[in-house]
Amino acid sequence: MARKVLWFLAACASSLWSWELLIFNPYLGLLAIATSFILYLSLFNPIRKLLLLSLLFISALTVFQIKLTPKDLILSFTPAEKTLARVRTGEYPPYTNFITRRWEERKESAAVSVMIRNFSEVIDPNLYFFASHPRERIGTGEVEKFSYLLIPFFIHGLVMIRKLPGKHNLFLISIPALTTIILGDIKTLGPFAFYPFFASIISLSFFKIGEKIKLWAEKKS
Amino acid sequence: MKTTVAFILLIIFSAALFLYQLDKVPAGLYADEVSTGYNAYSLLLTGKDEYGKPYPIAFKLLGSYTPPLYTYLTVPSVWLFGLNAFSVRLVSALSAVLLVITFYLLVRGLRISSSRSLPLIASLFFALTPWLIINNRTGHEATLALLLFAAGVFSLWKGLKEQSFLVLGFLTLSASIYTGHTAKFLVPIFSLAYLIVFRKTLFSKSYLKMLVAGIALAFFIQIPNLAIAFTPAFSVKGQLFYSSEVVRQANYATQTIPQSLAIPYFAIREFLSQFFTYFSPRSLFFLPDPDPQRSFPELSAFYPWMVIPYLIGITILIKTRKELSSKFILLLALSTPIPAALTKDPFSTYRALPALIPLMLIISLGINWLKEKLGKAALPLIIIAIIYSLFLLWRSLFVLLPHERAVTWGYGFQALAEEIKKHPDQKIVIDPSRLKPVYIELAYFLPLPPPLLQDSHDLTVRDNYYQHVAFNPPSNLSNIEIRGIIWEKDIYEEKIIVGDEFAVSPVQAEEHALRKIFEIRDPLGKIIFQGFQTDPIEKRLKKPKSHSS
Repeated sequence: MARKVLWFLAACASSLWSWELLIFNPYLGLLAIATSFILYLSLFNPIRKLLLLSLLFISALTVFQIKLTPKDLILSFTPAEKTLARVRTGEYPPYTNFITRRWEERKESAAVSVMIRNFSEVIDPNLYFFASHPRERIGTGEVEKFSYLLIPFFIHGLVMIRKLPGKHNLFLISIPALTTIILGDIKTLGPFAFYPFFASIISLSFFKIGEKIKLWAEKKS
Repeated sequence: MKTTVAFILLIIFSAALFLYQLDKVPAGLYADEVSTGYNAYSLLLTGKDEYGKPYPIAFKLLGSYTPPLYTYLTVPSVWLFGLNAFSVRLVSALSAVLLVITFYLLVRGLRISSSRSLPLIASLFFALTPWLIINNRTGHEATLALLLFAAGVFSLWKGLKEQSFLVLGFLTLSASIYTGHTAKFLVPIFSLAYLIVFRKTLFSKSYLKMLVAGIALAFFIQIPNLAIAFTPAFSVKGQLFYSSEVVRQANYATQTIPQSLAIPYFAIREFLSQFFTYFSPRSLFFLPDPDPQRSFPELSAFYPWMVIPYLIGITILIKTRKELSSKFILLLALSTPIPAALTKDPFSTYRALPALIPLMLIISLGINWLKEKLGKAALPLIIIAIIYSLFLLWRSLFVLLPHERAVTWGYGFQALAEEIKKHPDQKIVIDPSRLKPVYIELAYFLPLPPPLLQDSHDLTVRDNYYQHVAFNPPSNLSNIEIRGIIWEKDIYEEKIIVGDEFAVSPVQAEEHALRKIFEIRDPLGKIIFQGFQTDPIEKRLKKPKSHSS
């Protein structure tokens, strides 16, 4: 248990995102780290208590994210979008107006396009390891979340997770995923409700590698 | 029989899709296309390019020293169809049709599925891919390069079972180096990786002879390239590397880490960030290429719904990574984005076009998995996907693109050439500020006799063709001067002044007695060019005011 904790703390310390969250709001940072720890433990030992705790903490973190996210009116066009939609409607052949007007000018189209954009940002690996570089989001001061040096550990952790009994707990990611897709995230901090999933996977990798090194050292001696 | 009929229908559909309104969509011809087309025209009539160089190994064009194959293949097209958008783009469109056939053969050869319909379905979606269509409708070398690369890759895959294909594979890959700059980097990288990954098979006794023959022949056909390999022209694209960005980031970080660590750290970061972009779902399915000439409005490299089979395909590929076909797909997927990842352009669909093949193979893996899981329910979903994709394609390609990107694609130059033809004896000044290279667009549409353009260029270029890499467009073409307006002089001489909407304001026109004689607008009604006739006598009669320019 002590080694698990040690590697977990090492993973959190190596992540710039942890520090960004702690600096922004210490309670938020501690909540994110605590959530990650509970999720991490539940991967090894999927007891009901840990699963419920994970659900509770992830929900709390998600609520925190929702509260901090600017509530852009996703069912409305901005003035620039309204102008573009009007111009575009004029570009279509007249006989298609019965479809194209609905496609270009309805509020639902605006909502769908915002959600698609949010979804595309959430599943972009560059967001998490390169601060969206080289396709930074316009008007966003992107923060570094995880160093690219942690990519091999993240991939290793994903491979290792398949062998763990609590791997299904990762489906709790659907909670922040759903809210982020609908509402977006606070661009300056990123979708921090996803932090526990990355932190726990990287911690797992650190732990597994640590165990291998320990075994190898024991064999040698 | 059914499969054969379906295959023929697929080819007919692809040909129709790639050739329909080829000359009108995109509207206009942009500078690179015009440059290629005019040089083909010049070769046809004089045996020399626009600079007067006979049969170059690499064409200087607008300073890019483009490998020559596409331009040479455009010569018969220009001979048959004349100097127009169709003749310039035809080779690209025909390459795309052959590419669909090659992709079909590759999917069948890799045995991604036991189903006979999967190669057809995968090839249909390949043909519909926006990434392929935007390149096939452009008169440049990218699609031809992809065709030769795909053919080489297919042959090398076959070569793992039948040695004789190794020779064809290496030869075709070597030939692809004569099509584009990307191939110069990609072919050696891919070939080396191929030899390493499949070394047990390739270096066995039964394969060695064909392998050596293939590589030797591949080197042999590179002799013309070797002749210019150590000239500045061969490495003209080196400026695209992001060394200055790496140094900038390293300098910023030297407050915390020493520069000896910072530079390698940020160099690797820059490369990996560029590399991962070519696998990022955001870039592949949701964001268009940032270059407006390399993308459709509101459409990315692939359709948004393809993200689902893509993610499934990646999972399957990793799970089956030890199988021969999966190894081959992984090899392609990891090597093809490397040349583009070495440049500073964020997500260049032009430079990373070879990655289209492995990415589409991954999507095909996902489609196959869904097809097997859904059973009979798969067919209506496939039909819905086709219809949805066709709608998005129609909207972006045939509605939005001709209106919103017309000026980006050089729309207006043809009309400008027609206006110029109406005044053969008048001096004309064209202000090139904010415009694409004007000289080559006008040379193409007038059209200018090649000897005239050859003499308009700096004559030292043809003597030091591969050393003289600086690009200085000619400023005098017959009765046309391409330069900024000299207000102190031009308004006192009889001539026509041409510029965009900002070149001459209504106040200036009034003050300097300029009479507007033509206006060329884009499909959205925005002014592209305005032409003014000077009136020196009227100007001299007007009260002198302070010169505004």
